[in-house]
Amino acid sequence: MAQQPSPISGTLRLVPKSAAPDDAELVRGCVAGDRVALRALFERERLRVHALLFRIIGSNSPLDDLAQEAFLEVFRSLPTFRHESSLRTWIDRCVVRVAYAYFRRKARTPALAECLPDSTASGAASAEERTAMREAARRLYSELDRLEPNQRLAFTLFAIEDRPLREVAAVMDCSVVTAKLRVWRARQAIEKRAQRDPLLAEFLAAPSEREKEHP
Amino acid sequence: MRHPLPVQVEPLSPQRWAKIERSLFSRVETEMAARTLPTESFQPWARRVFPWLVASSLALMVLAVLWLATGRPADGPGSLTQASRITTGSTGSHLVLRELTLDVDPESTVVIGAATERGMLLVLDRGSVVCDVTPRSASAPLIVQAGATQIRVVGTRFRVQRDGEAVKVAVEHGVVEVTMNSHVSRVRAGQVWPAAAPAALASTHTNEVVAAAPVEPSEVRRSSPRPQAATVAPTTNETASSAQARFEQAARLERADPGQATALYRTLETGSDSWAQNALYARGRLEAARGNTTEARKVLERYMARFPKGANRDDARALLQRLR
Repeated sequence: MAQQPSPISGTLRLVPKSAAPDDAELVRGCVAGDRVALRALFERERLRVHALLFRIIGSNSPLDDLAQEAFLEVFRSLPTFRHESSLRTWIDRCVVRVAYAYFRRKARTPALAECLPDSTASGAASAEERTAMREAARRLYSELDRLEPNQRLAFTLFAIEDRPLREVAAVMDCSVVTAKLRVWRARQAIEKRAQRDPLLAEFLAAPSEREKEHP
Repeated sequence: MRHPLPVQVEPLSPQRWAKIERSLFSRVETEMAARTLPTESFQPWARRVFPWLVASSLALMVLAVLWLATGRPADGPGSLTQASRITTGSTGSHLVLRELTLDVDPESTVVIGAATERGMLLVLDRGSVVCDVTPRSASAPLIVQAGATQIRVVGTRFRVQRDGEAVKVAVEHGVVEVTMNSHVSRVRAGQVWPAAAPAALASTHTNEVVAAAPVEPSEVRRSSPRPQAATVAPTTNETASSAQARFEQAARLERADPGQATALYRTLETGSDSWAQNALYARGRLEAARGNTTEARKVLERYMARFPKGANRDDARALLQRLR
């Protein structure tokens, strides 16, 4: 599905990229309650925040609320941003906190039927392949639903978002060793399931579209 | 070599994004407005009274529990104990609370905050609402937040209308205090904020409405440098007042009808006073916001040539550089 242009008005897009407000300026504006800055930040980060939430949750159904929660968390917490990490990493941290709270609330009631991106496979894939990918991803998220929220988050950031362990640790506010342990535990659980499930095993072994494009 | 699992993100539809954005910024406005409710400092005398207040409150709580346990009289018009959101469709809605009557017009959304001892907050998300407020204590005012505009009231009847970031306040009786970007204006019965008609502006001798901050017509205008107020002739000068009124009218029209706003700015540019400066710069900025880069450049270059020491020269120069 093609992305539509954002609903925000023209000037922000008119400004050349080099003249776009930098992180510090944007943060200053947001902290001062400048609505234009808040909207600019939302506009700049919304697709990235959505992508991260989607990869963590595996479905778009709760994302209306979660995206709002994530941005509210960002806006509320911005006064505490100390520029110790990049703004993006710091925003990801807020998103992960919101996702963590969501998993805690959810109390393991996975909506399996919804757990599936329709566009899992590329346009070139056959209908059978698409169906198989869909089913495999459904099984993956079904398995992720059984994990501890921290393990799930670490795994999705590492194995689906493709972030290095150092960044996973930064986003989850833990040490690299802890992050590695969480990923390892999650991977063990998923691989255990994959031993009994060839489709899931194949999915875990399949290179992603990103990798196909940039080997 | 590890590779990411092939889960591709399914995009959200523009409609869902629009809904998310609307709800998010409505919540942001509510939170921001709640933070601006007045707070009273804890005076030394209050420290002495505080233990007695606590004791009285406890006694009242016990009485309330007893009252609830033994039944209570039928409900009359109530006051809200938690925030409520009212969205109207094709028909409006009439709401009677203890100290407030609301007529929410069709296609409007209002969030009514809980009534507390610090006051009551009402956020107008879109549309318009008529508020009839019985006189209240000045320390517990009703505050209506509509975008960046805040209306503080202690007892009056007025209408607030919001279209995007453009807000209009019409007072039927009483006085309200409208705050926008730290500019405070008092609007009396029969007056409208921001002052709408040029004639009304010219004939008004009080500074209450005339001195209102120029309305923020749109985000487009906000995100570009604002015209700096050049030195203005005294308000008794009718020509200057008329030019000012036309300028303000054009500023208000920028969002709803940019073509007409441009035409109005053009009529002001020909003069040599400070409003001509402002209008020339404002038109350049508006053309840039509309994507008419060539025209914007031409207008801004003319501004730099005509008013090299103008109040907006730095902004004009910066905008020109960006456009190049």
